[in-house]
Amino acid sequence: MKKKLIALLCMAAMSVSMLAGCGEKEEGGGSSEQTGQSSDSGSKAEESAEGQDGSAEGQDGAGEGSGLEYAELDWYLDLGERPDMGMVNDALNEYLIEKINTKVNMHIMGAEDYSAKVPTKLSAGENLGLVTIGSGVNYTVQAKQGAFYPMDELLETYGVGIRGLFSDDVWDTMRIDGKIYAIPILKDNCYIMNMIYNEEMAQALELDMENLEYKNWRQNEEFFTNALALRDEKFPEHKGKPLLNDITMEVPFYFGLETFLDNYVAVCNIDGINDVAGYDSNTVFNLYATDEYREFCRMKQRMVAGGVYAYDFSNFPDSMYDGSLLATSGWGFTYINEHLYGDKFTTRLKVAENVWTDTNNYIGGGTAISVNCENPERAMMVMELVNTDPYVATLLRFGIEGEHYLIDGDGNMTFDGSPRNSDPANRGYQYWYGASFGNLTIVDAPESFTGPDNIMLQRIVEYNNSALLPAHMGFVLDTSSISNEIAACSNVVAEYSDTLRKGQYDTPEAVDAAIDQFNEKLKANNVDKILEEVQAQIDAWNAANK
Amino acid sequence: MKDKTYRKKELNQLSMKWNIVFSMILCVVALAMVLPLALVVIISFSSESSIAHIGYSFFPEELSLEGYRYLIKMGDQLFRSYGITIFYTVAGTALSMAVMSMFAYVISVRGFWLNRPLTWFLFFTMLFSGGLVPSYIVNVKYLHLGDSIWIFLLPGLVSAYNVIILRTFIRTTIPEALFDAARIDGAGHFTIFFRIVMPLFKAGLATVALFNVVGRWNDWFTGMLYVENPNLIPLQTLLTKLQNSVEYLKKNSAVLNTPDGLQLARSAPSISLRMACTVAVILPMLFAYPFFQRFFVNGLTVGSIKE
Repeated sequence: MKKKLIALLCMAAMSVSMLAGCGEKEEGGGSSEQTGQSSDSGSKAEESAEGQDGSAEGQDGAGEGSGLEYAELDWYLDLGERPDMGMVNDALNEYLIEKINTKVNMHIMGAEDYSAKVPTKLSAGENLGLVTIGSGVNYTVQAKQGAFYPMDELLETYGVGIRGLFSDDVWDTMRIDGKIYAIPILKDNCYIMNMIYNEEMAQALELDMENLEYKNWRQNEEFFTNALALRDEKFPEHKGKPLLNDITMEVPFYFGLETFLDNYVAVCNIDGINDVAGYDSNTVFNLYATDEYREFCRMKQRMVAGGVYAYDFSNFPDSMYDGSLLATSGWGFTYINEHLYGDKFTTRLKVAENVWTDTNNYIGGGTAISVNCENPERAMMVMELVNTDPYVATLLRFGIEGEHYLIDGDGNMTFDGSPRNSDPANRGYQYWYGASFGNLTIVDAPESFTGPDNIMLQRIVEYNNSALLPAHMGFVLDTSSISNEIAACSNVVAEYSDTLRKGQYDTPEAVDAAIDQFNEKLKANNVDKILEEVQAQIDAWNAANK
Repeated sequence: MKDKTYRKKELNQLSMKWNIVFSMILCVVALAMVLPLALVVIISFSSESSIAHIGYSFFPEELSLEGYRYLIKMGDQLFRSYGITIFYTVAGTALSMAVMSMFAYVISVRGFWLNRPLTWFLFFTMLFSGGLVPSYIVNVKYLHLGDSIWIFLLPGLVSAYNVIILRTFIRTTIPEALFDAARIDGAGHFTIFFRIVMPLFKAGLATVALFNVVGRWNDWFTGMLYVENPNLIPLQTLLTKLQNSVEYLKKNSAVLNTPDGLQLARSAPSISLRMACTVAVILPMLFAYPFFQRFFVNGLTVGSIKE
């Protein structure tokens, strides 16, 4: 009897402990746990206390001048953690409380964590507040699944400044089923392709880099081949080393095309560039089957065999820094530091004549509001400040003046001598570009980053405004009916394209044979079905939009 | 005439020749297991430039503590994460073993009327899983385990596979006659479980406990998905984040149009850091394994009844 009683008591204890976990947890628009977390991630209990005091102030009454009711929301970002995130979050909240009586809990995590965590949270219907799209959070997919709050009215009422940052074409690109669900990032929203060259070497070899025509890296084979011979004669210590650095990706370094997949089995020409003959901008074609691609692969093979490119760049880990290269590629630079790769030589920048944009430049990154956000209006107000207020934009990227940077006598930002950011290997807080925060062009950055008078940012805006548009700006391919074929063709592309792009064949005949095999396998894996489907969707999109 | 001393040759004794051959084979096998670990340790002490120049080598060009310096930079966070991981590994394993061994005993009792339904209930969970999002919804929205220590303890408490192993162990190694004898002497189920089953169960428990310990120790995903409080981040999650942040820095060096940024990306230890993280993770396991090993080599049953 006694033992039965004990057994019953044990079972009752187990049941009670199970049921205890089922109690409701108090939730606000950002729990105190998360408040503590955003401050504690700076490992500073003082900041935690300050943050909570700040929120108490906001709760007692409206922030100065705002007349708004207190609100709190979360903001998820994929920029990677920094030691002083909590400290800067608290500084941001002081400012936001004053302006719009709002507190934001920033959850900044690495891109890998973000890709695993945030889509799961979105699918689970959690209130995430503001969400960065891009890293693992596919804008189109999540918007169609109803994870985001439609922004059209919010932009008209609370986001007027944001609305004016982009043209109507860009906002139309962001529409999913007729509604806008995210704010794109104002940064280099186009393909600004660069040649970064060694000025001292160019002068020594008497190369006229300034007047060298540069639309893409398929040009100038003869120029670079001659330059290699000159370099080896003038600088025999560099003989055997490549002249140019490894230049990846057919698009955008070698071809200017409108792409719809992660590879180039289905692409379109862009009016004004027309890199592949025989196709207009509304005709979908397979780049790998074109004469231009074949000639590109042969060119790479010749240049690798001749030593202009290395067969295997891992054998030259220091080539960027030892002064042996004449030039390397860049992407998105409109200004560079004169000694980008160290003090051995001066770096100069050329921007390709072909500058274009596409849909992915806008929908590939930005900020959305989660559909369960308790206060989407306030979320939009926060975004309005983030995208139009230089103080906020600078705070988010460079931290707090006096702690993370100083202003020198000439009014320039510097990290030297700052209490928490002077050691480049151990910065307390810095996010440059910090694209996920939003508008880059209003940031007050050091001259060493953006040049005198922030020339880099001015040029970004100019290039964005003058970039060539593809014929199908806003079109997003629905891959559901061809997903198997895409997977199969992607495997074939992975098998051949890297070796061809790197020129790792012994003879041009071997290149030709590989390309023939490549295309035979693509055909065998139904590349034609992919082309037909993409063409059909583009034709339907054209009919609906023009 | 000299006395010849004869050595008595045992029936199962190998000849010298075969002894040497088998010993050499086992030495090679042992080296094949130890050398990769040694290589990991050596690489963790190699400089990035040495790795870039000559690859992975037992004799690096240059030694460096840069990987460990990056680890130590985490300071208190590293020790806190060690503490969290050790706590939930030990506590979680203990809880897990308690629950699973009781479950296994219950379904091993012959004649118990709920035997088949419970076994079927257990087996059914092995057929398919709800997936990540349903698990997340159940754990966070309904059970409110998110961002708490319980997320490491409760969801993985019972493994159907391990319960079946334990049940089979009980049935095959503990004679039914022992249970009958205990019942005749007036023992109830708790007495039988604690005084008869558990002492004879050690080898099975140790085996399953080892699986549990290794699984919990290596788990980085739970911490990554459910935890935001830095005081609760486990070791594996912390080290994964550290590696990812260095990789991110290196991959995004092209975005950093500053000499500092490029130099930092160039010098940041990537491979040596990864190996240093591996060493940091392996060390406690190296101490744990010998602890469990003695249970494997002990006898399974103390002879009590001969059948």
